[in-house]
Amino acid sequence: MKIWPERCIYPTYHELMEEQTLSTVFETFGAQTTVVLIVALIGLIPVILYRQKTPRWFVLAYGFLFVAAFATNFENVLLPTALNLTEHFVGNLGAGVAFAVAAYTYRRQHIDTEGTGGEA
Amino acid sequence: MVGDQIIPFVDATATLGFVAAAGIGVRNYQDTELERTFWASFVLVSVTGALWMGLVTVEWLGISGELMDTLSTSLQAIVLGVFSVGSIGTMAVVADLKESQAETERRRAEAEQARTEAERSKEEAETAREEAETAREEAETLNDHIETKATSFSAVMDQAAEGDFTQRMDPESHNAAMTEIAESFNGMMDEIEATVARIRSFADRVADSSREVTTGAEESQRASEQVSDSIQTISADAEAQSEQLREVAAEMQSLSGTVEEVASSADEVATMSRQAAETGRDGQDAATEAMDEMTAIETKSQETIDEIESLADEIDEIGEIVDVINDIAEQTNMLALNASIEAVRAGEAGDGFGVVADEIKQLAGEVADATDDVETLITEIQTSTDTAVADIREMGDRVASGTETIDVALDSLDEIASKVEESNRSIQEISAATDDQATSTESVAGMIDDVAEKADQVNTESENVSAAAEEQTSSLTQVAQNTRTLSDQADELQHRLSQFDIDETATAGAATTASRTATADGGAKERTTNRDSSGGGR
Repeated sequence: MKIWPERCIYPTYHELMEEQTLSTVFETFGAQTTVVLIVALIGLIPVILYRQKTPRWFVLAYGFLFVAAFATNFENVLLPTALNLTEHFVGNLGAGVAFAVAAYTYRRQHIDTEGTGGEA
Repeated sequence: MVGDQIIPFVDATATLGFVAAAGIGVRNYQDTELERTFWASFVLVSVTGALWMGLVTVEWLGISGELMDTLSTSLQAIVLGVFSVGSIGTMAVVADLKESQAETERRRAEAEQARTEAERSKEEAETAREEAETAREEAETLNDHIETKATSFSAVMDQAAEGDFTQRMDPESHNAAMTEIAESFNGMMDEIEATVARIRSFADRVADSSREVTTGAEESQRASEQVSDSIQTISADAEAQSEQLREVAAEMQSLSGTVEEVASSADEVATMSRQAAETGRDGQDAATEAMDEMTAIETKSQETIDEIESLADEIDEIGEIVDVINDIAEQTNMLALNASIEAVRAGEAGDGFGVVADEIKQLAGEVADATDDVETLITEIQTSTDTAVADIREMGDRVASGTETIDVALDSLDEIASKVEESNRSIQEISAATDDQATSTESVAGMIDDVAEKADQVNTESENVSAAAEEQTSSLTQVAQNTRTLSDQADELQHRLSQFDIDETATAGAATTASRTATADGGAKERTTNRDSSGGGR
């Protein structure tokens, strides 16, 4: 026997719980940083798929970026000081250095050697 | 906190890293072709990253706000998204393109190589075709020439086949093979001609030799019969010899046993001799010790004599003392007598004195008696001492005599010990020699057994040889019969060889050489001579 009509104007218990959960997440992480974390997680997919064809330093550079995104989101939940230091010392600094090293290493190994037949 | 103070510098360094990456990315973009899309994306991401890090650094310097946070977070999301999807994806595509390009280049190089090889094969085929055409024309010309020469050669061969060995081919030809055939044929004919000549001569000698061999075989047959008889006699003698050797072997076995017994006895005598030598040495040692003891006794007896003589002298001195005491006793008796007289003369006052004088007189009398006893004893002692000295001197003389006797016995024992030792050495040598003799006797017995066995073998072999000699006699009978048949066949051979035509003057030398060789070694070098002459013909 149905208690509620077919189209109820009031939200269900589950709908209320979902709204409450999302609001809790955004209050905890912040909407923008959550987006950053989602983008970082989605970006892992091509990186994992093409890791064999991608030079090691580029994969490492994305790894540092992911660490920075992870630490940015979770520093408000647990270990705020440690994750803040991890974000800056590991994620940000590592990403900047890894980008420069990746570009330079690729140039040394694939571009500069082309003139001397190294590419072959 | 120190970490918070360093964070602006860390972020500034990261900013510089992104800027450097953007600069290098621009250069890479300029220097590459396939990866340009990737490097454009990479430069974009690097610049965006530099902006993001720049904003983060500025926030630490105090310039902040919601707009700055929004911009910073947005730029971080752009960096993540564009780098993962754009740059990494583009890099994978570029990698695929490079692999495809490398594969295409490799296939093109293989095709080019295959084309070059095909052209080279085509040129080789063309060259081979031209060479084949030239060879065909030459072969046709040569074929005509060869046909002409073959006709000529066939005529010569026909005449040679009919028995005319003087025919020769013309070696002049355009074809080396035909020239070689002609020369080989001519050489062969030279050899055949010379061989026929030698065979004729050899057949003559075979006929003569066959007759001689027939005579020789008959003589050998008779000699073989004699040999057979002699060998039968030898067989009988060998059997008798074998029997005698068996008897000798039995005697030697007995002798070997006797010699072994003698060797055993010699060993026992050697042992006893060794013990006698040791006993002699022990007796010598005992005699030496007795000698030493006798010398000690002699010394001791001399000392005893000296002491007894000293005792006699002292006893004489005691006698003299006893005489003195005796004189004193007599004088004391006289004094006692005088005192008694004086006591009597003194009257009543001298009664005590007279008693004392009587006592003294009595004591003097006892002293005189005692001295008499002492003198008697001294006399007896002197007598005994003299007797003892005499006995001891006699004993010393006997000891000296015994010492001389022992000395002589010691010399005799020395001599006995040396003789026994010498006898021991001789007996040891005899024992060793007897052992050697026993070993030698056993060896001789073994050798005689071997000789007897060999004699049996000789007997058996003699019987075999006798049988072989009989078979030889039978074979020689067959040989004599065969040599007669050989003589008949040699005559037949002479007749058949006379049907061949040869140049007698040209082959005389070869026939003479063959005759000499056949005479020298009975024809064993016939083939060598033929080989030499054929080589010279070519």
